[in-house]
Amino acid sequence: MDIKILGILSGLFLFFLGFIVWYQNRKNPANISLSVFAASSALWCFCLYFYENPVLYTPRVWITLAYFFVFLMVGSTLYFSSVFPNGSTKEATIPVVLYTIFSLPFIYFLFFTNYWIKDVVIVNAARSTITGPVYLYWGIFNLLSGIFIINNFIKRYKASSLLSRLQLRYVFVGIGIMAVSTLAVDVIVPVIFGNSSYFWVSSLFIIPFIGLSTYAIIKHRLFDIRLIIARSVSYSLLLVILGVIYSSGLFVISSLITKTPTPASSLISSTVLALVIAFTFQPLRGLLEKTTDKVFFKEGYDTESVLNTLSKTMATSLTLNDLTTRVLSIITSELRLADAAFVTMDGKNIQIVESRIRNKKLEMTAGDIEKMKVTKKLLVLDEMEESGLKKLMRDKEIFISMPLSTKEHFIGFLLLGEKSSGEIFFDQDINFLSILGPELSVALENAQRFEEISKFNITLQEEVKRATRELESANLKLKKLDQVKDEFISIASHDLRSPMATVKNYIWLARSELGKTPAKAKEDLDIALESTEHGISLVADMLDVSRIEAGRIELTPEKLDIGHEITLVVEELQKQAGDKKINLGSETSEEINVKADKERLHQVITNLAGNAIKFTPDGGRVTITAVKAGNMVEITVSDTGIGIKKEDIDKLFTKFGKLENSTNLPTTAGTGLGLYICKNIIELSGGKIRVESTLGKGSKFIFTLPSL
Amino acid sequence: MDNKKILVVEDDQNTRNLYQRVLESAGFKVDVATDGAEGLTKCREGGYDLVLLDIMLPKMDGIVLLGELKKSPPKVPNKNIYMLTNLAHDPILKEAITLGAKDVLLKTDVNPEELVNKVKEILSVG
Repeated sequence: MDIKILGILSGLFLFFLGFIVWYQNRKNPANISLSVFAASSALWCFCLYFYENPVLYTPRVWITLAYFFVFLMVGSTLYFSSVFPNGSTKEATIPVVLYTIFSLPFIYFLFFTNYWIKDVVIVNAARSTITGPVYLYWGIFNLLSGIFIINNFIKRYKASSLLSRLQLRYVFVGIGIMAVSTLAVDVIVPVIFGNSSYFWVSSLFIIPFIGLSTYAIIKHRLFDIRLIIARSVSYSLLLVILGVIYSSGLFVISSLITKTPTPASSLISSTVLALVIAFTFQPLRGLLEKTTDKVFFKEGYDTESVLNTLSKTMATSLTLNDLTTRVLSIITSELRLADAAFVTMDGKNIQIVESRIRNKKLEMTAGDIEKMKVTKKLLVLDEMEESGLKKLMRDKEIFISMPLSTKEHFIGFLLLGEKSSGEIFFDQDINFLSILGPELSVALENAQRFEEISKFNITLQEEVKRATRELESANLKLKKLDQVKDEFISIASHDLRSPMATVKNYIWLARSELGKTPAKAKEDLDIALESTEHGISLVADMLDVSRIEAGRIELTPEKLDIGHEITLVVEELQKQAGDKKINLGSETSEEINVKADKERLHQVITNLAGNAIKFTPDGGRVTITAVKAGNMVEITVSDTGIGIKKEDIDKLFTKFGKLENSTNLPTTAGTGLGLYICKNIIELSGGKIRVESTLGKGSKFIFTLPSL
Repeated sequence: MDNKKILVVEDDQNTRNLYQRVLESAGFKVDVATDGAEGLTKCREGGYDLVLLDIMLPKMDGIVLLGELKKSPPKVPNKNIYMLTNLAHDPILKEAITLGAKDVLLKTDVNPEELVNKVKEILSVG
């Protein structure tokens, strides 16, 4: 073991430094080039070390590789000197390309010929390399590159800001020392003095470079990596100290016990292994602890901090479901429980929330709850004497039952299953629960109240929506009604105007004819009179309709002989029928009594018979009959008129009945109200009306009344 | 004046007779129709200088009649169509104008003399 090991350590540190510089800013060419420099220097150190203490390959291979890495070192320095500190690659391209082109023949000589390295021999117990003629030229090439680099650095130094100058100074001096001394040991001494046994010394010259750049990093914020370095220093120191202690310990022990020096390779590999063990110990331990904690019992929670967490959770959970679910999850994980559940009572409503779904769902009847409620204390299954209650809890796999109640209300229970470890519950658990209980009860009650209010709110909203809907539909109905009323008024005024126009016109005519043709004037006045009658009956009909619609029509039913009533109408209409030569008659075989309002019955029969006469051609027949049908009497008005189309029958009884080919208007002469009024009177009297009709042959209007 | 042809479409017999009487005695040639269907048939024949059309008519009301007439107009058009009615329901009157009626006359507003004068004015005679 000698000072040469320092080369290895320097190399490791350089690696580390290079990695951090690269990691800090992976895109900046300055960072990249300096880290390439650091990495290649480190590899160069390793190769020099293995050249002296060969493993795997011959010393010749190692020294060849060492020379190769020098190309990278010089190249990256060249690049670095062209891009630091601005990071612009503009000026770096040409020098680097030129350097690479000139390097290629040297690399060829290095790897594939004996013109550079002739042989590696041992002279005076020291390893030395016999160099060929190319070596000198390579030395000169490096010298020229060096001059270019120095020139570059000076140019940049002058153009830099104060801070960059300071940074540059240290890096430059570090690389300078390294370059000059390496040149001296590796080129000048071997070439001039023919002694190449001091190669290994050159690897030590990277130590000043490391020192100076580290200083620049810490003192002058080079690459802004001070913080990372600071954080890493303790770790690195630990690494170094551990490595040193372990390797020297191993070395001493093996020297003392086995009396044989441990080979460097096994020393290194066992040191590395030791470091790996040392640095994986802590995380590994944590991981294993976590795993084993899940399997084995470990009294591993801090009452205060768990209570704290729970308090925060309770304060931020509004709904009952949210609160219970979150609290259960915390309790089961902290106390390492197989499961836990909340049973809450809201009135008679039992609600159960479980921490996880078990094969057998937890079920609690009101009776079970009553049983468990009795003691009002926290129950621990293992500490209970045999009883019905204990049996109940065992059946339900409840290991702890904690009743929850506020001053005013009983809220429910927190039920805990067994611990995952199978361990018993400790004093800490019981204490924890007894502290948690009151706060949890209040939180649960609040959540229940909150839900009640929310529900009430929803009900209220629905109520408002429903009321709004009702109002909207009422409004719509009113609008429709308004429209109907409008139409009614239009039609009613039309119908009233019609007879008035006739009256007006005929009186005007009569007046103009009065002196000249009195007979004609009388005819005109007759027509005017008839129209006046029509107008009067129209007003009566409209009043009736208005009464019917308002529900104000009053009937005074009495016992009436229907035959007699029919005869009265027949007599009254005889003249009207006679004008059209219509045979109007009645057929009632026996005395039949009905219960009806006398005037209204008269109105109905007159209306139906009048219609029949109106729609029956001259010389036809209109007959009115009455027969008993069970407890009703059936009165029929039949005619031999034009008949009514099937599709029109339904419309007959509507107000201003609409018939075929009309937009929105009644089309028959007359009020169009008569049948509507008849139907309403009959129905109010407890009867019904229907129509049977054959087109072209005649119609039958049949209505019923209660018999007496 | 003899060649001016007027069609009166009116279901009420008294009214129809009256209009026919006064218009004929004023010298017009008057044709009548007693319901909407007959009215449409006559209107389709065309060539009337004036059609006095009621609205509330059996078989087909005056508004439907106008619509049908608009769908298939006569070869020789009717020069003027006036509604002569007692219906004063604005939406329906507007519809009548849209469908081709020139104006609306209310029956109660005109006595026979005024009607004749109005007709003369429409036909620009006398």
